[in-house]
Amino acid sequence: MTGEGAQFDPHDSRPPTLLWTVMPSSMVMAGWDRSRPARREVHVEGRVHLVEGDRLERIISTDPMDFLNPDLMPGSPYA
Amino acid sequence: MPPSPASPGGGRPRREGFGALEPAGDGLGEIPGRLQPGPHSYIPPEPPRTAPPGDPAGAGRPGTFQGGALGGMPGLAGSSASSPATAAMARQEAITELGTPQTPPKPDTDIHCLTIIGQVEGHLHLPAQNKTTKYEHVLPQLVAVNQNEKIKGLLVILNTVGGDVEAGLAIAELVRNLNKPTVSLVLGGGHSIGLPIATAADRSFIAPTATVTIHPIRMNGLVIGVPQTYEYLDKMQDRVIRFVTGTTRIDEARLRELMFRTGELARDVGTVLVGAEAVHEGLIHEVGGLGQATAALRHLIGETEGGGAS
Repeated sequence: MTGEGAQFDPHDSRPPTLLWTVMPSSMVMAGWDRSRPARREVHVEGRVHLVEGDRLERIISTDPMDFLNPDLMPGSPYA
Repeated sequence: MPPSPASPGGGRPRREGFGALEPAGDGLGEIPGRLQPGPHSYIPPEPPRTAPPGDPAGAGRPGTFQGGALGGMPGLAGSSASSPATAAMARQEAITELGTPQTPPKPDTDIHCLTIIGQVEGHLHLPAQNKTTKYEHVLPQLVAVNQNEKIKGLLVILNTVGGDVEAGLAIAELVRNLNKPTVSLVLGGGHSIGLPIATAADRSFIAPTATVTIHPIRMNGLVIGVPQTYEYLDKMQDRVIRFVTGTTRIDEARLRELMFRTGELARDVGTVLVGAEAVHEGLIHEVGGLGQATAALRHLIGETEGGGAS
């Protein structure tokens, strides 16, 4: 992924991010260079909860069933 | 029912033209009892059955929020409604989040609903103003749906503006190869990378007012100036085209024609298909809503469980 207006580097072997969206790129990427709120990691029962502010941002777990838990959906309130 | 044709993409055979759907009873079929936990199942916490003392909202009635939806998870808000203070907090949270303390009771269902909304977020963490569907959450969720024996079918609801091509294709491939019946429903919009996700299901529906936008793949924020870039874009586009033509009735020439049509979109090339037009082009099976989609999924589940007879 490169920023708006950046040049393609043929020597860069990293796959670029391709967005296929009807929204203008400038709107989607507005503020991409601004820093996000700090995240904290909370370890719960073998899972890692990544918490941003008072919201659960996402979980890291090797048990796929954790991802069916509605309480662990991204954006869930986190006390 | 005659055997379905084999999938060009190597997935399960695609179910075509099973005719008029005849849902049993009220159209939802039998809803089985609460899911029984397997060795790895998530066990949802039981909501408290009695109202906390002095509860003015009349907790205990069906539909009254009692913190059950958020209960039981360490560290999560509303983790217990055992005390009046906690119940009050949970009720306050419901008012803040939903505008009402009354929330519908959690239904018991064997259909898993996956919503694809906003931007499909892939390798890049999108800025905060975007509503996103995170692939790192959806991919293991689909694995869990595949593994969980209590889930009989998957309903994919789409209202997406598109997003990361590889993340979208990854989701589409998993939906395509799920070992359970799948039905997709496009509401609002199923644009760009939303299209392959919609067509990945065994049966696809689109609301009469919903739209599908087909346009060329672009590389975000990148100046296209060297041949390698074109080649890469071309390869990515071919992947999407192969997937869509392999899961629908549209042929490659027609899809490319729609993709590169000029004069339809104000600031881009491409085509906007509204409801029935997407069906007419062979991209989506039927125009319909939630009722039809659910009935179709019940029908497919019945076929699967009945060994093809329904």
